[in-house]
Amino acid sequence: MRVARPTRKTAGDVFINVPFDTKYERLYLALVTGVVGLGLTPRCVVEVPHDRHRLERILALIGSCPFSIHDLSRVQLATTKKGFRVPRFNMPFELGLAVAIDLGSRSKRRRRWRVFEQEPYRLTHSLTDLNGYDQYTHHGRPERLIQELRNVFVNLPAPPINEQWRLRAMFRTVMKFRQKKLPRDIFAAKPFAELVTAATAARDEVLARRKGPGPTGQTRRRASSRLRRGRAR
Amino acid sequence: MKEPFPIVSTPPRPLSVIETARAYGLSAHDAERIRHSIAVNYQDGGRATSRVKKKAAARKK
Repeated sequence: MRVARPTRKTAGDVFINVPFDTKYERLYLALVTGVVGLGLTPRCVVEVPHDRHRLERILALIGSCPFSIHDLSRVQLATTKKGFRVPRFNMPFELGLAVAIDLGSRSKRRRRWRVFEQEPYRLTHSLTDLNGYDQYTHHGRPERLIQELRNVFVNLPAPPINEQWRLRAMFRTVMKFRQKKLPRDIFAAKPFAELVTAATAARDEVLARRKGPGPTGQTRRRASSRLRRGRAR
Repeated sequence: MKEPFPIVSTPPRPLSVIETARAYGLSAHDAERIRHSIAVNYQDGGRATSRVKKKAAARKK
C-alpha cells in the first residue's frame, strides 16, 4: 500500500479527514468521488499503517497535501454498546495538526484547510476557536457535500468534471460498485485504493459518454419541450 | 461568498485508471477488474429518468 512520504508533494493531493462510521459511509463515497471527479487525488489516514510511527506519518501525510478537508460532523457521543460512549477526537485532532502545519509554514499560501459540518452553526458552539472562519454545511446529504466541494474548489483551472449532475452520476456508479464489490468495512487501505480506482474509472466513463445524449439529457430535453408547450398555450 | 481554496500551482494531469491503481498499490489486473465493473454498473440516469421510463412503460400497457 502507498505510505505517506514527507518528501513527496503533489499539487493535486487532498487530505480527507472524515469520521469512519457506517452512517457516514455515503458522504465518504461522495467526498472521494467528488475529489476524483475534480481531477484531484484523495489521500486519507487509512493509507498509514498502524505502528509506532503512525503519528509522524500522519503529520507527514497532512504536510504533503496542499489541501485538506476536515469533516467535523460526528461531535456527538458514540452510540456503540461495546466500548465507552465518548465523542470522536480523531477529526479535531487531525484538523489541529493541519492548522499547526499551516501556521508554521513560511509559505504565503495560508489556510489550506477547510471545515465541513452537517449542521449549520454547530461548529460555532463545538469549536469556538474557529469562529470567524467559513464552514461548509452538507446537511448529511451527499449531493450537498458534492456541491460544497465544488464551491471549495471553484478556482480550480479546468477540472475534468465540474457539473453537479455528472458528479452525481459518478457518485451513483461508485455507490453501486461499493454495494457489489467492496467489503463491509470500507475504511481500510485496500478498499480505499479500490474506491479511488473505481471513482477514476467512473470519471472516465462519464467523460467518455459526455458527447452522447444520455438519459439525463433526454429527460432535460423532454422537460424543456414540455415547458415550451406550456408557454405556447 | 465563502472563501474557496487559493490555487497557486496548477494540479497535474489527472491519473488514468491504471496509473491510479498502481499509485495506490493495486495491480493492473485489479484496475481492469474495477474498470469492467464500473462500465457494467454505470448509472447515468437519475430518479427523474426512471420515473419517465415507468410512465412510458405504463402508457404502452
